[in-house]
Amino acid sequence: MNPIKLLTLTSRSYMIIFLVLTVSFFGVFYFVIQKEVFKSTDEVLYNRKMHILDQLKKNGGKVSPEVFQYSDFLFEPATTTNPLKDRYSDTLIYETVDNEWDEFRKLISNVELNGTPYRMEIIIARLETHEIVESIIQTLAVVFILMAGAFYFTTRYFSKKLWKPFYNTLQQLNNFEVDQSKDLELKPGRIEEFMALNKSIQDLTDRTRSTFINQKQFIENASHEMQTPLAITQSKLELLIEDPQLTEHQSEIVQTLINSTQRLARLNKTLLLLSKIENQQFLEKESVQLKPLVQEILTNFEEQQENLHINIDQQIQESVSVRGNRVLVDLLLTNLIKNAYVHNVAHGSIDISVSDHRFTISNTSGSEAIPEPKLFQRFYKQSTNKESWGLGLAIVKKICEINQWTISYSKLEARHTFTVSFLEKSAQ
Amino acid sequence: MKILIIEDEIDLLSSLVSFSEKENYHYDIAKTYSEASERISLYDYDCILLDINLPDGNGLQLLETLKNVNKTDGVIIISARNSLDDKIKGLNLGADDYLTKPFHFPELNARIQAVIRRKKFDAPHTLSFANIEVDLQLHSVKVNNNIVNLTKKEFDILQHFIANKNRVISKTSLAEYIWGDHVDSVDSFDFLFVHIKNLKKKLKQVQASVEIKNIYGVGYQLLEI
Repeated sequence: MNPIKLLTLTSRSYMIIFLVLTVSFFGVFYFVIQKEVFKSTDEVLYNRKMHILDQLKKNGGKVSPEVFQYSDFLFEPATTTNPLKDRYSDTLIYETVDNEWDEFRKLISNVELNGTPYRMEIIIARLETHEIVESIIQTLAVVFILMAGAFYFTTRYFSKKLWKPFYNTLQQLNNFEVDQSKDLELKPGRIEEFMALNKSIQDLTDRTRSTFINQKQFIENASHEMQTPLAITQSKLELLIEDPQLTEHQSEIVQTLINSTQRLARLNKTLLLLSKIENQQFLEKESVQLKPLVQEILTNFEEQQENLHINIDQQIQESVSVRGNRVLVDLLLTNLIKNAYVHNVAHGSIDISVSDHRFTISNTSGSEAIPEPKLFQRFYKQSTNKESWGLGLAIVKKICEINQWTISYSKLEARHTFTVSFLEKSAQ
Repeated sequence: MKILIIEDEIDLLSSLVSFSEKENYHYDIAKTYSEASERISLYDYDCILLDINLPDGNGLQLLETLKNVNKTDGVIIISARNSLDDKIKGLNLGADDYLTKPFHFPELNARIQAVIRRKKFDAPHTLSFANIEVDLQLHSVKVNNNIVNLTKKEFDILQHFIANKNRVISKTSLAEYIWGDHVDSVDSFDFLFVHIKNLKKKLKQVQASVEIKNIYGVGYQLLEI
């Protein structure tokens, strides 16, 4: 089911209720008005009858037609002696002027004049039913349209006003990031429900953030605490390898220990680095020239390049620079370039292109496309390389995030491509 | 050459002491801020190794003390906190270098020597060992006054060897010195091997009287022959 706006939904429901009400109003109106019309018409007929009888009685049954002014009645001797009961009924009389049947109200009454029974019929033109219906419909339609319009605009206006704190809260929540120190700015307002909502949200985000900060702090502290024991181990091992009495076998063991210690130290360093990036500890920004940086990084991988016979294609525009922290830009590009080497195949290739605001690197690879959600996850590794922790791309992502750059990944014809757009997201 | 080791971790301190003995440095030790403060005011050192997290004070204040008494001792901060703030603060307060734990001894050694060299007015820009002379400014190497053409990495390796002459340098330490943190150590050992092989060949061609000895696959050692 498609989501629907609350305002639309309530408006729609109200409109339906309005319509139903209006139709029922119509029915009620019709009956009430018809009844009133009949009642007053019948009253007029009755009055007329009494008036005619009065005249007849006064003049002993002989009245010239002028006295009655209008010839709207029939007066004839009754053939039967019916009970003296007035009968009101509707009748249609064909009107030749406009060629239609007009509606009349008729009173049939048996009266007695001078002891003789007479039958009396009086007619009076009546407001026609369809006219009543028409006027009611017209009136109600106008009322309905006016009311609906008024309702539509007022609800829109008030809803917007009423729901403003809600949308404000929603937007704040959308922009909320647990790893950023920016607090939610929930406007207090005076609507109880929204106040309750805001309070719950505030509590929830505070709790989430404090949990997150505690965890981060934990990793950071743990990593820091590990530095000293690692330093001790490493220093002792380095002193040990200088011992002339060390046998070859012992040396091999020491070498393994040194390697493991080194790995641990580097993992620790990387974790610390990640938390430092997250903590925004690389504040100093400058304009970093990309070409010399890329070439400097590439020299660090010369050996891999020669070893794997990798063909490097560089399309680097001169004097393209990006604004950022030098250490982080270096780290970003190093990790991407390293990635391109680590996942490459012998006699493969790496294409690097740098143009305004964009760094693209693509490489041949023996491995499958990386599932996007896992791509930048910490400790997700695809290679079986024991020396890899799967932190490189997590760092890349983090650096992009804090600089509001975008990174995208695609796999096309056995080539993995990463593109970093240095335009800040907000400026796009 | 006299150095002061300020470190509160006994085990690390003892490693640093062994290291200093092997390098034939004269050394004093201080395990607390107050001890360090006292030593600094009483004696002059060529280089101070300063752990800034001390039980009874912040090592950074020692830098201010040094500044206040107009001492020009070289200072290398050794910190478990790889914090940029501390680093900037430390360097602004007059420290000469900043090293994060864990560190490699050959790296520390190279930095100590660099600090001491910088502190001397008439410091030579050259390192020499046996008949090899390395010009640090021109990045050139001469053996018996003949220029040896080395690649940048070979030059770095040789320089590191000379700074740590006669010592065993572990392969991990050497690899990290050359490539930094970013290279896988498994591959880099092979690459290192190739570089050292080339370096050996080039040195042999010009009859350098040195030997780069492979120590059971653990590391390398530069010796005079």
